[in-house]
Amino acid sequence: MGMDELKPGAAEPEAMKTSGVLAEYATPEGLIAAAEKVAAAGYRKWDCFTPFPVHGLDDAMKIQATRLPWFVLACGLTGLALALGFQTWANGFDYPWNISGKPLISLPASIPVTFEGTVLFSAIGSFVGVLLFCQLPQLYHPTMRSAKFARATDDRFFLFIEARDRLFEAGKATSLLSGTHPESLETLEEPVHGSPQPGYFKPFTLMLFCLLSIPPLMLFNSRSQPSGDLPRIHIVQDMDKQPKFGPQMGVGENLFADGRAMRPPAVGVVARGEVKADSQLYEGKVDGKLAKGLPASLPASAALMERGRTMYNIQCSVCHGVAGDGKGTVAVRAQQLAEGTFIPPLAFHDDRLRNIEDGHLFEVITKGIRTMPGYGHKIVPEDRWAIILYVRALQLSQSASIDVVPADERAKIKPQ
Amino acid sequence: MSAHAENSGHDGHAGADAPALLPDDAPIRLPDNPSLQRGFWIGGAACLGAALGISLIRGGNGLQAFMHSYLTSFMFFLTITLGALGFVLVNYIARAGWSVVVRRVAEIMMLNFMVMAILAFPILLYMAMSDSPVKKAGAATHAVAESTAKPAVPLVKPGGLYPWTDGAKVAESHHLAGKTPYLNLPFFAIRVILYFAIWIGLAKLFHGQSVSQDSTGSRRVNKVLEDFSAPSIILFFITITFAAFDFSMSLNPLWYSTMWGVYHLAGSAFGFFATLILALMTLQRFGYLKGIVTTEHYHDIGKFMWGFTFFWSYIAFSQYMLIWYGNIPEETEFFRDRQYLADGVYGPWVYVGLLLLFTHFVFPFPGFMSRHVKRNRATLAFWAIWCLGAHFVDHFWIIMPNLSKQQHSLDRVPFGPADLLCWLGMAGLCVAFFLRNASRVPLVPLRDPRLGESLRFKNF
Repeated sequence: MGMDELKPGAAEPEAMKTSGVLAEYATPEGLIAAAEKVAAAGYRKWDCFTPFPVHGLDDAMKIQATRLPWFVLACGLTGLALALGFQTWANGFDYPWNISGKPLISLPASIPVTFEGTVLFSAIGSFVGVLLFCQLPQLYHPTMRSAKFARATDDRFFLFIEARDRLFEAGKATSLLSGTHPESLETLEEPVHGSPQPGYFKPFTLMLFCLLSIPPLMLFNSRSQPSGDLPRIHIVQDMDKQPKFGPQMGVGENLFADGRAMRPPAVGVVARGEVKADSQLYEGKVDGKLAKGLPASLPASAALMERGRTMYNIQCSVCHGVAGDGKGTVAVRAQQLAEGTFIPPLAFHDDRLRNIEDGHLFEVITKGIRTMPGYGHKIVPEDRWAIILYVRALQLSQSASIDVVPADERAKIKPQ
Repeated sequence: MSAHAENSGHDGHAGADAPALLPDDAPIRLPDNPSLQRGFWIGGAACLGAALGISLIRGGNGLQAFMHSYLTSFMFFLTITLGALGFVLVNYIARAGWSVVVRRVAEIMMLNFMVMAILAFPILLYMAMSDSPVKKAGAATHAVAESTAKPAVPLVKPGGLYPWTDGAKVAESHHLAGKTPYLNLPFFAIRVILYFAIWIGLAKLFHGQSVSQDSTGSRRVNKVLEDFSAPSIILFFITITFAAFDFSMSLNPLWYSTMWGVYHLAGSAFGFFATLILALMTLQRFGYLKGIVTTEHYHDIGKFMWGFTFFWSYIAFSQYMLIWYGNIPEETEFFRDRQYLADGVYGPWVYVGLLLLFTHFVFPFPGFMSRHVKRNRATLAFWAIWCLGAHFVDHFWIIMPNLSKQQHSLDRVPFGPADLLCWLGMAGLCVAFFLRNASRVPLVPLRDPRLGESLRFKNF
């Protein structure tokens, strides 16, 4: 039956064995009734074939609930673990990259890929799972040897009990099925030794594999090759290619001998407006020595004094106090907290500081001293001189005698 | 699949009317029980009154606290009613067959828009009272403000519920003033009236047509409603989006989220399916719809509840992650208030946020993923109640931090008896109206052409 007759010059019939018993029904109800009987008889290796899904057939055949959901769950969890793990490893350990200050291992940022990985693996798992659990694709099945079976995709319903079933005995199965009133009942046979694999299978598959592996290998090879001279396809040009030298462009010695595209500035070159020629204004020094007095470009004036007062109150009074007595709020509080181990800021009202050069005060404001930080980056040089002027006024205020006060102001001062 | 048998069968006579499929003594008619309804009406109103009383007695601007609790429960029940409307519309546009036996109960639920419309009035009233006189330009400096005579403390704190109702604050803030063309009380009131007009109109249309089919069996009703369902869904989405903006997003007038509309939509569907399950189970417990609404229907409603658990989580997380990743202070203020007291110092609201995460996603998602859980009445009822709790936590988490910010600070989560009483009150009113409407119509669409398919519905 079947294939053997097509082979030219088939010598003798091959040894055949029973593969099973095939029953044909005209209605789904007939099939269901038969299925119930076969299930009740305890057969395990049997199946039903219908042109469309028949409701109730699952229950009649006593098919157990599928394990596919658990398989899909396992695949989904695998996808979740892989996606989350990969992101954690990639950005947390392998190539830590600061992305807008987000934590290196960050759950919210990882969720989109993790979600996608879970869904992807679940979907692939369900697709592959369905094929696996249904044992598909099946290239061969004993029913393919039955001519009647062609109507299984048309308008007939079939039930096939396999000979491999442990309960199978040809006579018993046949009599069981005939009791269900099938349209026809057939005992199917297949060759004992099975059909040999056609000789061309192995070399053909090998050749196919070799051919199919050529494109990926070519791709892999091309990773290490430069693209050659062909320019990239770049449709909207905008201002993307500009005739200028960018960083790390590798101009070689095309422009300058040392490979640079720019000459470094000469020693002592200063940007326009940045020349700090006046050493007294900018450093508090004259001829390398600390200066006394304000720079010539900043004569003392009421406006400068007022500026000094404003800037002193903003920048300095927090530690040195509004009166320059070292009792600023920070200092007082720090004394309380540190219980006396805090080094207090200086009060300005001793002879040493009254007599010290103004340039020294300028240096201290600019660079700091001892535990005081430098304020050079915060206060422009002109303001620093204004502060020094004001500090001198503060010092004078605490050490002057009444004679220094103008006559008309004297009345306002009450004795302490 | 049962669809096969159906599709090959009944369309043979295209113009004929649908027959009645259920026997006359089928348990589908709820008797009118005026005393029970009255009990719910009075009980509901009493709970609301008690909530108001407790809040006022508590002092410290209790009216403002009450309005926030009121708004929380209002949004809870409004979103569920919206979910009912959405469900009915989607059933028509998809020509759904499985859900016909439960659709009538959903239709009755969506009539509750009329109750919600009345419940919206106190909110509008409070907003109208919470304006304060705009100070003249130039008088906004602190020095001058101190010298003007202080007015008597108003009953309603200016901007007590919605900060933009306070005219003085709006005038001072250039940013808020720019939003005045949209965020002003007259336009707000018109919008609210428009929303409820549309929702009540749609509810009455779909319910009315469905009920008329009970007596005529006319298949034209299905065609008409299918045709109407498409533009209705567009209207539904637009109105729910803007209602969400108006009622809950404008509590933070300087903040916005483009996902706000769909966030509320997801919560609506989530809350609605949980409510539908409980409503059906309650009706069945008293003998109605027995044998008509089966495990198969509960399974499917449970599937929707589960699906929207995840959909809500997806949307809520998207909203969070986009704002977290962008890290723009203008946008992060919403989540910052619900997490921190100050830089790096967590406040108690972070626990409410975690509660939301765990009750709305982490536990329900695996909790009733299994079909066995959905097919068992007890477990499904448990999860439905759980989901309603999570839905309340959602709106509490959205609305109440604004009360915290305005009254004391974010270092306290103001959950109290007023919140529960507001919820119970509105629940009572909604149940009363449901009972009233349910006693006037059969509990299933008697002569819907797809009723047979729905009765025979079997899940895989």
